[in-house]
Amino acid sequence: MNCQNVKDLILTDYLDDQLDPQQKSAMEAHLKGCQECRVYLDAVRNVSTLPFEKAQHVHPPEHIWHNIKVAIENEHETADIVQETTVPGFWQQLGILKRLALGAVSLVLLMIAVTTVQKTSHRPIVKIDNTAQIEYFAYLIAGEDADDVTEDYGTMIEEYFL
Amino acid sequence: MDDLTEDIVLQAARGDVEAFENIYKHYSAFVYNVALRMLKNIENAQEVTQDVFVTLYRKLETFRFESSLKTWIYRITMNTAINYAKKVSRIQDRTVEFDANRYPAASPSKVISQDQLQKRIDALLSVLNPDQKACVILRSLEGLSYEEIASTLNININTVRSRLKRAREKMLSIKEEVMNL
Ligand SMILES: [Zn+2]
Repeated sequence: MNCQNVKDLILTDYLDDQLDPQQKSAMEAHLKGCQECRVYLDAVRNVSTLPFEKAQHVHPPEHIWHNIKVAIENEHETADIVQETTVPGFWQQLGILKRLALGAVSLVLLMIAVTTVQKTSHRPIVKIDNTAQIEYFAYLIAGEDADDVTEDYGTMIEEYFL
Repeated sequence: MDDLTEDIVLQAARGDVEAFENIYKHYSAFVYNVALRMLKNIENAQEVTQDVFVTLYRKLETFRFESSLKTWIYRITMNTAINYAKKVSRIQDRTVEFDANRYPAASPSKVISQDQLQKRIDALLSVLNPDQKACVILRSLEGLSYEEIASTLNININTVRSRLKRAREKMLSIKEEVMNL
């Protein structure tokens, strides 16, 4: 195990006690003989576990439950009214109507989409929503796209101990 | 589920508000604390807490006991809080840089108060994006294992690792400023 591997594990599995006993003792053997990694471990602990361990848990204020209760009871009442005022059969009819309406709407949307594509395809420049574009670039610059990529974590953690 | 019996959950699923209040009592602290840390703002955290429980009440009917109620509730909480945080950060600044001026230094003292601790935690979390923040909160504040985090956030376990790694590297980079708070 080299220092880089050890530091990666300090940031993750070692700090969070997710290693099996064998892996853990391999880590500890390295730490024993390596001052640099020991200093690193201390620093990481100071910012990423210690402050959180002492943090207080609080309870939500009373009025939160009250608000929730009002919201769900209102919903109940509306649901009851709907049930009382409808005859059986009505929902089935509505179901058919809904499906017909949905079909018609999809057809219209499809036609609009086709015309739009036809129109825009003649233009060399495609207009892109600015905010979305800026956000996307900010995302790339910040390197957040690598967030979900697990390659840098290599494969399985076991390989670190080979 | 500890003291929450399947009966209570079933009653709540049928719309029984009193049974649902038991579920609220059991999980409201988790939901509220996660929301507070994710959003750093009491009003937003309260709004998220309300949203989560109204959603739970509506969806409880569809809960099938295939996964644990805890995982299911945690998942809805994290989805709601992460989406809210993303929405808020889109509206507000996209500052990822740590700004020491936003966290005025406290008087020098060996023993740190809850207030100082709070400032440190806020400052540390402020440099993380919502996805990284979620992993740090679930791990370091709520004590979930990597596997539990993965299933709560519906992500691969190695993604949990890489998010925690990046998050902690970021927090480490502001160590000097934060420790002086
Ligand atoms: Zn080393």
